Amino acid sequence: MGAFLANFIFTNPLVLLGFLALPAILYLLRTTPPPPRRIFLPTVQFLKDLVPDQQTPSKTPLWLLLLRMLIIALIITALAGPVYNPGTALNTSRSLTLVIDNGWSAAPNWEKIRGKALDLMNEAERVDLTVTIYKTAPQPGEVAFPEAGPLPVGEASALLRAMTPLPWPADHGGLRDSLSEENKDPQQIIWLSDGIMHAGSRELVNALQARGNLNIFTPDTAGLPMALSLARGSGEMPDLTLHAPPDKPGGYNLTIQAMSENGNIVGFQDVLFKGDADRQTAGFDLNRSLQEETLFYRLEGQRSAGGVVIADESLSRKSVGIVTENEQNEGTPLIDAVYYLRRALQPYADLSFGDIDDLLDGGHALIILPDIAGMPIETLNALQGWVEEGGLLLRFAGPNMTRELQNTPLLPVPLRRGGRNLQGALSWEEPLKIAEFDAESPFYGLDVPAEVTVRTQILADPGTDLDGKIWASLEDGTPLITADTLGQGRIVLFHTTSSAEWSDLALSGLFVNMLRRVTALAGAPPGAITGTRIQTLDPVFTLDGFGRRQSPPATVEPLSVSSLDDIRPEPSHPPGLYGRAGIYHALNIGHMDLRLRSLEKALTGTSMASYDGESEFHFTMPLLYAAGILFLLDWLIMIAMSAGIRRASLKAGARLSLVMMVIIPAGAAYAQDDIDYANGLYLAYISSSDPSANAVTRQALENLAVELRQRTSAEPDGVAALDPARDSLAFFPWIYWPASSMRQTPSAEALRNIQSYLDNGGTIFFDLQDGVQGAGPNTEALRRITNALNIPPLMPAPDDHVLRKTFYLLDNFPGRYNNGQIWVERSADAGRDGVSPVLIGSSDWATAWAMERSGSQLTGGSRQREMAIRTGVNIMMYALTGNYKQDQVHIPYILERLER
Amino acid sequence: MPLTLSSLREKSDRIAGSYEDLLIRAEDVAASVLIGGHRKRLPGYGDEFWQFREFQSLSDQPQDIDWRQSAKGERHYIRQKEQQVVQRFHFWLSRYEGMNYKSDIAPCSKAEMAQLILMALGVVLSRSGEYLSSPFRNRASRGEPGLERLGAYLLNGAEGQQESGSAAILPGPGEAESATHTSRILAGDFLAPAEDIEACLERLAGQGQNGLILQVLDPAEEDLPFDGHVLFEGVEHNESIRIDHAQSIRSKYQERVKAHCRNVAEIAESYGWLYLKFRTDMPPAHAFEKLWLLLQSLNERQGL
Repeated sequence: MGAFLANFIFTNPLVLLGFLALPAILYLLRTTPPPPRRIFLPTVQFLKDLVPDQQTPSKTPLWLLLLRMLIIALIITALAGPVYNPGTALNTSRSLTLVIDNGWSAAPNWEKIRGKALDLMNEAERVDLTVTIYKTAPQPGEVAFPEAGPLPVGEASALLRAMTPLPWPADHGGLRDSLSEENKDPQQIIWLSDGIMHAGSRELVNALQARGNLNIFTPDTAGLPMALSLARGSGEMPDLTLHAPPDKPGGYNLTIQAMSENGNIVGFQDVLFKGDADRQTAGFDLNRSLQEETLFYRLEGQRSAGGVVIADESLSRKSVGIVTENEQNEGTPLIDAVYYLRRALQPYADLSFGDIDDLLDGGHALIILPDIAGMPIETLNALQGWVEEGGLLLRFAGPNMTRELQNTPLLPVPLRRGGRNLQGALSWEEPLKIAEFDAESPFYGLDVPAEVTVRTQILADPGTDLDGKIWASLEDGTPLITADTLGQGRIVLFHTTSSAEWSDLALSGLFVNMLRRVTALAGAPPGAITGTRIQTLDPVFTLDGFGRRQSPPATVEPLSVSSLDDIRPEPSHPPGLYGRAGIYHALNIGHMDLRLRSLEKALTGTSMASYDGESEFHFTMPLLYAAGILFLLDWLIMIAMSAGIRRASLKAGARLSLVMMVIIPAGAAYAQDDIDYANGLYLAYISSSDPSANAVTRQALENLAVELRQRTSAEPDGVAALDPARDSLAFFPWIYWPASSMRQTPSAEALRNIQSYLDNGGTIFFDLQDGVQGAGPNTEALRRITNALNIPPLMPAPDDHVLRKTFYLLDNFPGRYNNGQIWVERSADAGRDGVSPVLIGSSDWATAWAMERSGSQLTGGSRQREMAIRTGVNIMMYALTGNYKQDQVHIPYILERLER
Repeated sequence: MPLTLSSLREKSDRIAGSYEDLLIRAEDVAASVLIGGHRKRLPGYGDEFWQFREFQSLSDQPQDIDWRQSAKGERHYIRQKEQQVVQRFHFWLSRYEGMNYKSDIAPCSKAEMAQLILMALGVVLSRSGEYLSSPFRNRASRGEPGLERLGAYLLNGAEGQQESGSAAILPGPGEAESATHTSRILAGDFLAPAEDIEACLERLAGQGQNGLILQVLDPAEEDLPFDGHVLFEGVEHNESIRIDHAQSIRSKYQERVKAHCRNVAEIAESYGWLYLKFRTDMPPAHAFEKLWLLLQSLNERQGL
């Protein structure tokens, strides 16, 4: 109660003086009922006996008096503007200073922080204040903490609107040092904090308190930011650690996503966040090949640079450049040398194609020269320089190579001119098999298939010392693959072609594995970089404050190699991936030494308000409503009294109404849902036992309903969550069944219910939500359900399927995954108006629908989200209109498409 | 604004003056019957010469012989004068407090209306040479002195008259002095109980006097144009009635008032008196015209 009162203020306390007038009002009320008009009338004797004697109470009954007093007291209290848990009431006489945490840790709560700031701006505008803004995260450039202000409110709000969190930590100490001392006017200072204790927070608080009246806002403990870190030198599983302030409450599941470079989710892991500790290891069951594909690990729900950790080169895919004559030529299938390389490397490396000069600038770890010998001397020198700085050059022999001079640089061994043909018309030799690999060879351990033969090779110049340079040889001991070091780099030569022209090697799985091992060698381990000629690493990409990838801003400086492990994100080095010549270093917010502490705990004794808890509650309107209701009651009483309703009937009426109040809701409750569902169009989904999944699905369908209302004549009235075992499904044209709801196998009763729904024209849209076309992780769950149902054979929706044109013309059906494919009934059954009873897809439409319009979390952005919505609209129209659109509306377009 | 003597006179002059034709006819009326000082075309007592007639030794007194006329011939003539009727108008105005009532929709109070009408009547009658009297000093006089006395009475009341009390609704005994050939003009609201009115008229009519009852009512008194919750207070302060919905009893009330007025009219009729009802929202000139027309009928009745 004390806390309640402490958080209770009146915005217009002077109005409370109105209570002083209560005695006067009391007196007035006691003379009521309002005195009749006194009219002097000489003919008053004619009025006698005209009306039955009216007894007027000389005084209002006490209870009525109290009721009226209560009404007046309510109105006075309401006008005084009682506010529970008030925000900051701005003092009109002092200018406002805003201190805003805009480091990475502010990003998860950025909407709240900015919303609060803009609210304050509104308030400041009302009381006409100037505003000074301090940002606690240092800016890149000369002045780390520019002081903005005093500004008019309009400019300040524009500034705030444009503000985004920066991807490095706030520096409270730095801000404190930069505060000018001469400004001694008492100010009102509001600190919109991210809730995290940063360096110098305590000093900053003291300094600010010395300058004026300080109010601090923090997120509540559940909203405190978290960070993710990844240890180097990973083993079988990525060594991820969660960092959170110890007082952040735990006990719930977090999802960590592994994302590849192009934004696809390659895996995810639910981790139980325990809380009560500043760090917690997070086991992530991710196999090695998927780890290699993973560029980011992301903590879902933490939209900040700290929630993203970049897996640096040891985990990331190598960037491989393949030299082609022109950029477009990615290899003629089955013939061209580049084709086989592309097919072999694409799953494991990021490929780019182009001429040597382009590739040298591209920061590749590995450059492949398939049968390319001649190059300008400048290019040759540049290539040599690149290799000497640590690049790995992989060359393949070929017809061109046979014409090349012996002492060409950039070869591991001197070559003999001309090829050795083992299967020509004039040759008596058989094509040779490949010998087992030596223990020193990087290929050691790979199985050599017996059917692989080499028909033509280029021989090394005899007499040269080949010791240690041969990685693979043929059965007769002639080298097949040789390698040598040059500077910090390596040159590897396959003595045969990368196509099937000279050997079967390129057709075998061995080729793929060999290339992977070579690729793995590209780029030396980071520890080995020091002392090399590479002094700095250039930014490849950086993260913004929300953890989104962006191209490096101009203010980013290269990382100095000498102190890589000591560098922490700062204005000149935002978190991101830095690298050069195949050597990468990921600079992440989260590191092993990161210890997050909440500001609130650190600064006990300083008054703080929460963004969430602080939501002001204005009692004015509720009180006025209450007064209005009481006034109506008073009025009804007056009517009842003047109408002379006898006390008994009044009592009976009251009793009756009391009974009605109890009975009506109770009676109406049991079938209200079904009545609603029958009266309107509802989007339905099968609810899951997981409330968060339900929330996503519900949000998805609500968004879809909004879009349907806006775009189509279908006007859904709402969204219904269904339990097939309990609820009647008959009211819904289609039901969305996300994979999250497939975990529990439906009961026999539920299955009967579903079967009956399907048999009577319903449509169920199963969404596997795993983005996998074939058998994905959720397929088994679906199978458990569908095995018990009588479902016709399915096929992917053909190009001319009506589902593609019920409202929009769609080529595919993207959801969260862009590879949308929907399976429909194979033969349109005439009895069902061509509507397939079952639609099955896996693109996780619900998540796409549930996103905000920008679709910023989708790889395809707003476009993909739009397409997902269109898919939903089409499905809805499909369920509603059946085959009507088969050949109706889009005839002109369909004809046009047919003609094309 | 209460009337002063001069303003009352001025207003009533204006009303009367706008009826020149009435004045002319007033002369006729005066010439015929009604009013005192008017010849009856019969020999009798009077001031004016009527005829010479031969002396009848049996019935006439010798001192009645007009010697100048007799000297012209051989016979004796006596001089006869025309019969003169002594006729006067006695005004009475109710002076109780209720007469001062003026509702919001009325232009003037009942007393003002009555004063104006009575004074206008006085002006017209005075111009045609009638005697006017009032309870004020109770003496008939004609011409300006008569009007002055009338005006003083109307505005100030008779000296010594009781100003309050229900008795003042109707003329008291002292105000009903008996004089032959006097027409009584009684003005008031006559809101007294019908029995009182009847008793009063009986007393007056018993003295052989004809007359006119002018009942002046406020429109509010007749129509009760009030709504809602009203506390009606009568002349006497202990007399009050609270009505919650005044509109609901309006029609009943109107019927009662009408019935009362009818009652008064019937009582007047039964004693041969004239009865006339005014509302204070009538234009005074209009009211006066009605009054005059009524008086004319009275003349005709008496003239026959």
